[in-house]
Amino acid sequence: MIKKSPLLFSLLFLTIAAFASSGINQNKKRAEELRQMHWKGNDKNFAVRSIPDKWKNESAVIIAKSNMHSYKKEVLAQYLNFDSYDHYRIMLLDNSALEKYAQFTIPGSGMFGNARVDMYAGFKIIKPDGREIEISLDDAVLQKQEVNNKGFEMYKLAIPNLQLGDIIDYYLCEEQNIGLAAKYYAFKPVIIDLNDEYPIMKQRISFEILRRCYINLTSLNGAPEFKLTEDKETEKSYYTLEDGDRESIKDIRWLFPYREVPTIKYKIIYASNSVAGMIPGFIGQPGVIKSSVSVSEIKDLFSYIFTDQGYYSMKLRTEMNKKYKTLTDQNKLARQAFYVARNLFRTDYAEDRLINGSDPNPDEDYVDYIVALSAYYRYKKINHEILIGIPRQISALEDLILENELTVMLKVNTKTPFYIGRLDNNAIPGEIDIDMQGITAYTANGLMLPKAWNLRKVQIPVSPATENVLTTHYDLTIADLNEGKINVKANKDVTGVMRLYPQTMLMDYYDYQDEENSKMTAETVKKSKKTQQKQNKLKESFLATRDDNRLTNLKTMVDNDFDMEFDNPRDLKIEQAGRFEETSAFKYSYATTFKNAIKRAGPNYLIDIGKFIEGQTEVKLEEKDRKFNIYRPYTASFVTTISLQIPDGYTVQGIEKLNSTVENATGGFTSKARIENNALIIDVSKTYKTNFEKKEKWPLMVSFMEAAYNFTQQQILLEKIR
Amino acid sequence: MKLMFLSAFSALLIALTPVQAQKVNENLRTEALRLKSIYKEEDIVALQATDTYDFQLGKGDRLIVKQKTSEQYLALKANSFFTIRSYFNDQSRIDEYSLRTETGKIVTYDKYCGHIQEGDIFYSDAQLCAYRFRFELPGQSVVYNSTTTIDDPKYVTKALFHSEIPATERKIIINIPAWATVDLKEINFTGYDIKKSIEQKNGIVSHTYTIRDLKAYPSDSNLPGSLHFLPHILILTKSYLLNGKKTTVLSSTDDLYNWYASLTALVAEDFTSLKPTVAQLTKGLTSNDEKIKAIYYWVQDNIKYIAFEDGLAGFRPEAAHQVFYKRYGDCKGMANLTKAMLTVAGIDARLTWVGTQRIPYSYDIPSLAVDNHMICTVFENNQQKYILDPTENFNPFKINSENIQGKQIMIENGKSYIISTVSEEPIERYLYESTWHFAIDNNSLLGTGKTSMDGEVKKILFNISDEIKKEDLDKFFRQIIAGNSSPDNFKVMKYSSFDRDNLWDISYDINLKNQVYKNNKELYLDVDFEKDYKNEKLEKDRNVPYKFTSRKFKKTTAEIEIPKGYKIDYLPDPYRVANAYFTFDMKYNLVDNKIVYTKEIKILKNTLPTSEFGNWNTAIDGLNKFYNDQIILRSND
Repeated sequence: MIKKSPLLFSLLFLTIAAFASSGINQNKKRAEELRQMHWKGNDKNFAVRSIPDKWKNESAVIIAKSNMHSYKKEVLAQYLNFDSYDHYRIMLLDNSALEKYAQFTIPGSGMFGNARVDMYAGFKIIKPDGREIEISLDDAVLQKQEVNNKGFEMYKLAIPNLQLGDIIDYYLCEEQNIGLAAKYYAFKPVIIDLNDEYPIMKQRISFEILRRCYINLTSLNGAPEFKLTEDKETEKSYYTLEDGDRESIKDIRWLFPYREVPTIKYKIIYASNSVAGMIPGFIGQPGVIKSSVSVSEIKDLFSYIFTDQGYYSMKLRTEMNKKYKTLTDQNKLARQAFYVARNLFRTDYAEDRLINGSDPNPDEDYVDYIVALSAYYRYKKINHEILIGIPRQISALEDLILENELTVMLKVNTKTPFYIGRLDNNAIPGEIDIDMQGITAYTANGLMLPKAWNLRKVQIPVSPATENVLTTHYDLTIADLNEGKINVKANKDVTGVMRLYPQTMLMDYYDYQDEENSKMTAETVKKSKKTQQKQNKLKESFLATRDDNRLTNLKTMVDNDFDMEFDNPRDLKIEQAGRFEETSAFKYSYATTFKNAIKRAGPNYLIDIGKFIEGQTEVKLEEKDRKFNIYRPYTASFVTTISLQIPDGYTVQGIEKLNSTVENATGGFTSKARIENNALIIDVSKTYKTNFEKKEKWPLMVSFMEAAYNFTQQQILLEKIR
Repeated sequence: MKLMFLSAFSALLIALTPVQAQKVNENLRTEALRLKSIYKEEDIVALQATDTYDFQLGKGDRLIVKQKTSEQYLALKANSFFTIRSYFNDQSRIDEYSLRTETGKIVTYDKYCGHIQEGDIFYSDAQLCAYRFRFELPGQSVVYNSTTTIDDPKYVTKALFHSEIPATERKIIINIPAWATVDLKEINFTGYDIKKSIEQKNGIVSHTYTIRDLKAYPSDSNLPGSLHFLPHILILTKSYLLNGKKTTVLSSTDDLYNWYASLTALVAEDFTSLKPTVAQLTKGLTSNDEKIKAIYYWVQDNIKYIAFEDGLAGFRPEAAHQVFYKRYGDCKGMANLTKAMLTVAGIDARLTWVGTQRIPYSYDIPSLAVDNHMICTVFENNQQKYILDPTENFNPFKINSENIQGKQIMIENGKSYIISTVSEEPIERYLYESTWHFAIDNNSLLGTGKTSMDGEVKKILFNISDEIKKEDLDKFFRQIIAGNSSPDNFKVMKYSSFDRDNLWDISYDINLKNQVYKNNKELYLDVDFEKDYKNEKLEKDRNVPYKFTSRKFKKTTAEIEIPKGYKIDYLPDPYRVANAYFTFDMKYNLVDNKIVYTKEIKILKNTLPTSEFGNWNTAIDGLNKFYNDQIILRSND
């Protein structure tokens, strides 16, 4: 029966350049070949019908899984063939798995941009008694989609007769014929771990690479290596990884899976001989796996990047020469160049982006700005290093195989050395990119011309917890004992990486416009009268809802912080923007009223005072036993002072329960309470000292996290003076 | 659902250029400022919006409907996006549309057309075209016009005033030629200032409904079906007379049934494949009740619900043997299979149409809008006996699921039909009963608990348990029994099997830390860790009814042993409030040196009308006070 309701479908406007779609398994001959290949082959793994007893209580078990990729280019052909064949055989053991595999959505064949893609698929179920039932794709229903008059097809297939204990065995194939406009084509790099949400009995990943295709590939964290194998039937050679007996894996707090779980990463490139020689990247021999990168290759790549004296370098140098020609103190000059670069490349666009509804501080690649700064420093003979490494969540340096794994920052070695780890609207000198903290990286002497660099390894420090501090002062006054209402005035002072979130949520260009203009002397480009008028209208419209929008954001933040009911926050004030080294803390204040925070006990009242240090991580039962090392995003300190004005006629009891200390090598939690000037003052601090710990240290972390959580459960008694 | 990865697909968000780059009309800019002060949360308002339904002669001398939409949208805020949605299906088509600025200039927009993919519906013939554009500045405006043809007027069932944006003026015009009989029913007009005028010209009667300053469709949570409370017009096309020939559309309930029956008659049934399973299921069963139950439960357990809404097939059940083979079907297919299997077992079972509780109408209205669901009714000696809804997984035999309780049903009865009503289940069928036994141990309450569940809550729990991974079951149960406290305070000791016919029991150990506060000679106790409905006041500005998940009957008894050397110093006052919609009744008593806490909560109706909001909020205030009041024990020393 037909029901309609308004849909949320902004996603529909995610568009795909496609046309001329034409079904699945359209080429009957090829469809049959692929059917034979997947279901009539000699692969014993795909004939298995039983699972090990140890996995009988799992939701599903992947009996066999095969992902085969083929990259080819025929001689003289102006196209590249990329074929991908995925084959799965899965036993379904509970209804959640049954539900997951009861319906499939498969895109139809078609032209997608410059690629002709043919889709093939096959589905069968194997009953516990061995009966095999092949599912006809004729029952799949077509869903037409069209974006800006370019159409594509999706097919939805419901799997009939599927029951618990059945095995579903299916393959999905796409054969792409990619038109080549140049003698170079790079496929997207891939990084995947070998575990799945279900345990895996056997899995195979293989590549067939022919003619002028280059493959960078490596296995990490104990993943098996790829081996060269020959298929006698087809006389083809494959690089194949054989793996099996993998347990299922879940989302785990503070885990970088690519650093711990067996993982592979790879990238395929097609390039002609001549182009391959010209590409500034990590490229090996055609058809042969490249699984390591030499220091000289990294040097070549980065000297190529840093030799480029492009638009940004010239713009920065011109501006610096114009405004700071007389400044000779290298310590000051180096920092000023950073602020000028930030102003020229980022802040200058912030207002336009803000009032035009775009992200005013987008997360963008800042390599060009780093190159520009390095070029300027070299020009002014300011000693600095270029630090090249892999983000800690991706890989260790020795596992590098892809260019796009690398990231870069600067260390400026003036009288007071500083790092340049970020360059967005709110970045300041001295911030080490959190992705690079604690890693081994390569360093190059920035004073030397790139081609003369001699890369050597260096350890990047971890910013201490004293640099990432959230200091909070909560002034509490009882608004109504019987109604359980407590008024709160909050003052927050955030430094280091932790200030980025509140800055993004609460601050905009107009908060720091005056400060920026007073510190920077960059001239604003004169706009035409018409443009300025439009700009004024946009600004007026933005400002009309600015306060409400910010309070809505603040409400979200307070809601995330507290496990208590509260009135809409009010009186938000940005006290300090936190955008310059000497005023590096982001400071703001607000007020709100918490409700139902007081319980009555006869003539006395209990206050959930512990909850005012904000919600703390509760280590759940299932988290206590840890199998993986601990990767925190950064070190952090949370310093909170709660000041509760004791109402007349009452004394506070239970203060002793508010004192606790757990300190160890990984971090700590300390709380101290006292009475001062008729107020209860509680000083609390919680520290994560490191950004990485071995799993053996997990109990130490749990000990102070539990102390913090237990504090949130503490109450004090307001006892009526009799 | 698996979406196959297609590497050639690269998702790209279109960065739309603004709709226009011309000057903003000063009057519209002023109007935008005025409207922004009224509709603070809104970015776009419809200045005038008109939906016109023209009943007219179509090809082949058939009555058709042309639905014309004309709307002018005004931006109240810079950089506002808006998406117009225009729906159609196999019975209708968009003939034409246009988007222009108010001065007639071309507008830049993105267009999407395609099948609607909505929630649980696996496939629907319903499609839409959507046009998205961006206003750069407040005061800019776009005028949209479109015409859609509906070939069969019985699919035109209702016209709603509300849309996703507010309107300064919204009109619904229905033009009916003298040769067509179309009834209009005004629903939920009370409380809305809707002006109505009727004009007759050239043999066409024009009904015009106008409302001014209409807010957007409410975005509140827990809304009941909007047809219960939003104003709308039911359009009932009864018949038309052309060239002396009268053609009936849906003039009566008989017509509605006849049309439904004509569709079910087309289903080619073959019971052969069902027979072995029916024989196996009913083997050794002697009573009809046992057989019905066995078949009903088998369909629930073995046929997966997948919603298909495909043109006429949206009203026609799939053949029973097809559903049986596929092991999936929509409500019609599942009802039809249930009927077929019962028929094979020699039981009189009949297809039955029903509008779920989302729909407010009864069968005296001859319209496709009346129902949205199909079930199966069992008869014995030609008397209606049981109602079976096989789409309701884990629904017990002889119990009517909540979403159809109190609703009229239309049961097939050969060439005629029977209108009946699904009886409401007594509140006792919703029992959720817990008993806790506590002893005080330092700052903790240690104890054991047992909870028994029945009715909708049991059904919902079984359904969720069935859908989550086995390994997550223990955690899920702990979350259920923990109420407002941490699941880690509970250890599940045992639970009964998922039996539809009996109460579901779960036993557990409890260790509630920090529920006891010691102050010198006094102990303060906080016993209720669930704290049902604490702080659940309704927003002051909510002006639409509130729908609970289901009705509820919760009974809790807790016994707390008074430690040696202590006596009761203070017990909070009991709290009781009762009315036709809900009851809260909680109290503490001293019984044999134990404190006995009893809590009884009844949600007697699943929807709270706005008129009851004041009572509800007052009750929650009282409830909060009760929960925040502590028991005090005093040491005898």
